[in-house]
Order: sequence, then structure tokens, then C-alpha cells
Amino acid sequence: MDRKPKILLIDDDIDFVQATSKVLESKSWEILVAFNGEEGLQKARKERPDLVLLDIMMPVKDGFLVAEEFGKDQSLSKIPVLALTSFSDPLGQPFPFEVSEYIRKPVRPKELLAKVEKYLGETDSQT
Amino acid sequence: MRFLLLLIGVCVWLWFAFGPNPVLRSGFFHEGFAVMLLIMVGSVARPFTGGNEAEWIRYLEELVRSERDRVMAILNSMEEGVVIIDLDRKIRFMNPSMVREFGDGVGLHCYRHLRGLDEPCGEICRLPNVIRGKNERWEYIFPDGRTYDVIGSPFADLDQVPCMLATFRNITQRKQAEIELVKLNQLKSDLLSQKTRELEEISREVAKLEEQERRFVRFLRVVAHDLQSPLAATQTCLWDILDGYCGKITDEQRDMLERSSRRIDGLSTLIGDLLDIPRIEAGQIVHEMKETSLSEVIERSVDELSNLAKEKGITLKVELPQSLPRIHGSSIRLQQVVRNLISNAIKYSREGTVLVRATEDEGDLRVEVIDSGIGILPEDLPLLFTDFFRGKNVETRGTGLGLSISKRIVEAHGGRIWAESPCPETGKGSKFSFTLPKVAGPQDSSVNQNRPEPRLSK
Repeated sequence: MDRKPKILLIDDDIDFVQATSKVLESKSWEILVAFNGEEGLQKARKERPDLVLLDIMMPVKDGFLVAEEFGKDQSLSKIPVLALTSFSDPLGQPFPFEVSEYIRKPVRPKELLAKVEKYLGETDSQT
Repeated sequence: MRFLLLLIGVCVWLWFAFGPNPVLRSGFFHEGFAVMLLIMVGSVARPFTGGNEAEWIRYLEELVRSERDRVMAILNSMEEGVVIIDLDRKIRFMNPSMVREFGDGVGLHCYRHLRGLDEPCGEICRLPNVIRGKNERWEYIFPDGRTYDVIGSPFADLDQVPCMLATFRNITQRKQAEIELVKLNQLKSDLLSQKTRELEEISREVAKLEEQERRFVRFLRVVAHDLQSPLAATQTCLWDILDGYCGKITDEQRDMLERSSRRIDGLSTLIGDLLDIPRIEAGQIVHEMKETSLSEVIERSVDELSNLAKEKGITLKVELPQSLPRIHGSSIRLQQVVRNLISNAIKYSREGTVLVRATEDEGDLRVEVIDSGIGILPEDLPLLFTDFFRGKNVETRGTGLGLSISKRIVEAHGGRIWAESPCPETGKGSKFSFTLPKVAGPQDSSVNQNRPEPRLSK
């Protein structure tokens, strides 16, 4: 991959975004952040990230709806989406879309990086 | 004389056969014919009997009288009332049963005697029709409720006056039973519609309660999220510092931060557990259930805890049969149960092996977690699955809710959970088992690790 991989982090909790970005920035990745689902979708369409970290419980447009639109949009549907959920999110209910993986918040930096690298590696090998 | 007797015989027969009395007439083939035959036989046989004629006549008179007595006896013993009413609506005859019902009214007008009227009944009177030769049947209902089934037939009395012969059968009881039945049916349908209304009321109440429950579950979800979010952010910040993303820290700082991190982890678990209980009790699990692979549930739980086991130097062993039937359940919740059992096994062992095993018997699937740890005190065993219970032989870590939540989850799946200590097979540590009912369906052959499935990790 010639250019720096772009990672889009969509989460409404500014402190969590701050702390998580710090971990992701330790790698040579470009980190984009969005604080709600709508903003996240706009950034995704404009910037074409290589991977999305998506919070599920957000006001205005929650992670379910964002992921659904990712699935519908031809240009976005190939992008791996890792869903971030807090412990008590309703994980058991069937979702109307497929995300690549669910990550439970909070996640230890080492584990988060491993997951992100795993999916970046997969898209690398595909392109 | 012989001729005279023959003549009498024929006359008697004719009187029986064609005479005015319909009761006798109806039986003329029996009685009339028999009498005539007797007279005729008597007349023919007389020369050989040698008796005198006066004796014969007395004998025949006796025969006719006995025949009349018999007819009267029939009328007297009839259950039905019999009445003869003539053209002028005067009662000519009443049998005892009729007298019993209405009192003796022979010689009185029928409308006066039977109905207490001063004039004939008018249009409803059937007498004219009957006298004209028709048979009629109708019901008399008296104001006091007595009801009669009446059959009227034309009849010519001995003086050839056209009359009506009527039988009165008292059907008051039957009628009242019919009325009671109608009332009863009305009552039944009233009751039915009342019960239907009550049922509708109840189902409205149920719908209202279900809506309240849905709102409650939504409320809990928001509460859980709003309590967990600040903890997740704080924990992430602490891990950033602990894992060196914010520069170097001293050992003392690390120690303090690790303490904070542990407490936040505990608080987060407690909040999750506390909010899980009402959600499980509100029947939330049922909505999460679908066809699920138990092998996958176990393998994922083991995956999640393999690091913890490694850190403590404990071997985590899994024994799964080649194939297990699929189950109907919530994989997330079942994973919570298996994870809870394995992490307890690891937590309360200092070394050795933790074995996770799944087996299948006739109706159930069984999951067992066996450890060689400190075991459970006998007095603690019955309380193990109650809320906030902590064993007396363990230091007070954990929320005391893990096992009680596991019990709720297993029971919501129609299964059973229990503990044994020491483990009956190894004689040490403890053994936790739970069952799940099987679903009829294809076997779940060994798990395909490459299948892309949403999964959870810590």
C-alpha cells in the first residue's frame, strides 16, 4: 500500500475518541474522527477510509443505521466495519446488516491494534 | 229363536262397528267382532248345549255391560283429561282426570268453566272447526302458567248432536322446562359475552403491561449505556497511560493506575450485571433466541479466557463431541454463562487444569466445567446461585451476581444448572453443569472456523 491507511472512528463520546485516537496514532495511520452517524457517513463517502470503527449507541443516527447504509452503498460496502459496543448493548438481537466484527468497549490498546491490523491486512491482500 | 240370537249378534257388531261411540268404534274388530262371533257361535251351538234362552240373554247382557265397563275404566284411568263439548259449548262429559284438573263442570259452558269467561272465547275457539269435521291440535296456556296440549276431534253423541271430543294433556312441566332452557341459554350467552368482554379487557391490560415492559427495557438500555460510556472512556484513558501511550510512568503511578483500572472494571461488570437481571426477567432473552451452535458458544468462551488461564498457568482443556445437535438459544447469553463458569474455575484455581466438556443424552445437551481448585463449602452449595452470594472461603471479589444471572439465563432456555463439590469424578475442586433442551434438526458438525460471523471479544 503506497499511501497511509485511513481509519475512520465514529463515536459520540469525545473522551473515548481522544483516548482511542491516541492508540491508533501510534501506528502510521491517518485517523479521521466523526462525532455522529451522519457526519461519519459524509466523511466516509468523501474520504474513502480503509477501515471504520463504529460506535453503536449514538444519538441522531445510531450505528445500526450507519452500518446499514454502508451495506447499501456500493462504494462503501467493501470497507471493513468494526462495531464498538458497550457491555449492555442489545447484541443478541438479529441485526439487519453484517459488520466485520464486534468489539466490546473498553478494549485494551494491544487488542484493538491487533484487530485493526488484521482487517487492514485482509483488504491489502484483496487489492 | 236361533234367528233372533243371530240378529242380536249382528246388531251388537254393527253398534260396535258403526255406532256413535268412537272409542268403541276404534276397537270394533276386536271387541265387536268377538261379541258377534260369540253370539253367532252361541246361536249355532245352542241346540247342542241344552241351556235355556233366558240364560243366554242374561249372558249376552252381561257381556255388553262388561264391555261398557271396560271402556269406562279406560276413560277413568287415562292420564289425559277427556271432555265432550256440544254445539252449544256445553260440557257433556268429563273424565276423572279432567275433573281433577278443572273441577266438575258437566252441564256448564266450556268458556265459563274452563276459562272463567262470560262469553265464548271468540276467534281462537276451535270448536266450530272441529264440529265441521276437522281434527285440531293446540296449546292452552292459562294465566297461572298451566299449559295443556289439546287434541280435538269431531264426535256425535248418542243423541246425534255434533260435539267435540277433546283430550287435555297437562304439559306445564315440559313447557316450564323449555322456558327454563331458553332462560338458561340466554344466561349462558350473556355469561359468554361477559367473559368475552372480560377477556378483551385482560388482553388490553396485557398489551399495556407489555408496552410498559418494552419501555422499561428501552429505559434500562439507555441507563446501561449512559453508565457504561464514562467508564469505557475512563478505562481507555487509564490503559493508554498504563500501556505507555502517554510517556513513561513510575512504578508507584502504575500501581495506582492499575488499582483504578481494576475498580473500574469491577464497577462496569457490576453495572452490566445489575442491569442484566431486570432485562432477563422481562423476558428479553426470548427475543434474542435463534438456532445456535453450542460448540461455537463454548469455543468462543474458551478463546476469550485463554489469556487469563495462561497468565495464571492453568491449562484450559476442551472436550467436544464430533457433532452436537443445534440448540434454540441466545448465543450471547449462553456465552455469558460458559464464560462465567470458566472464569470462576480459573479464578478459584491456583494451578492445574480446567476442563470444559459438552455431552449429549436423550433429551438434553449438557455442558460441564470441572476444576481442581479450592472447591465450595458444603453449607455454601445451596446458596450458590442466589443474588449477591459470595463463598465464605473466597476473598470478596466479583459482584456475587454471575451465577445467579447464569441460572436465570439457563432457566430462560428451559435448562437446569447445578454445582457439585468436590467433583464426583476427580474427588477435588468443583464441577458446574447445565443442561439445554435439544431442538429437532440437523446435526451441527464440527465448527467451521472460517465462517465469517459477527463475534464478540473483550
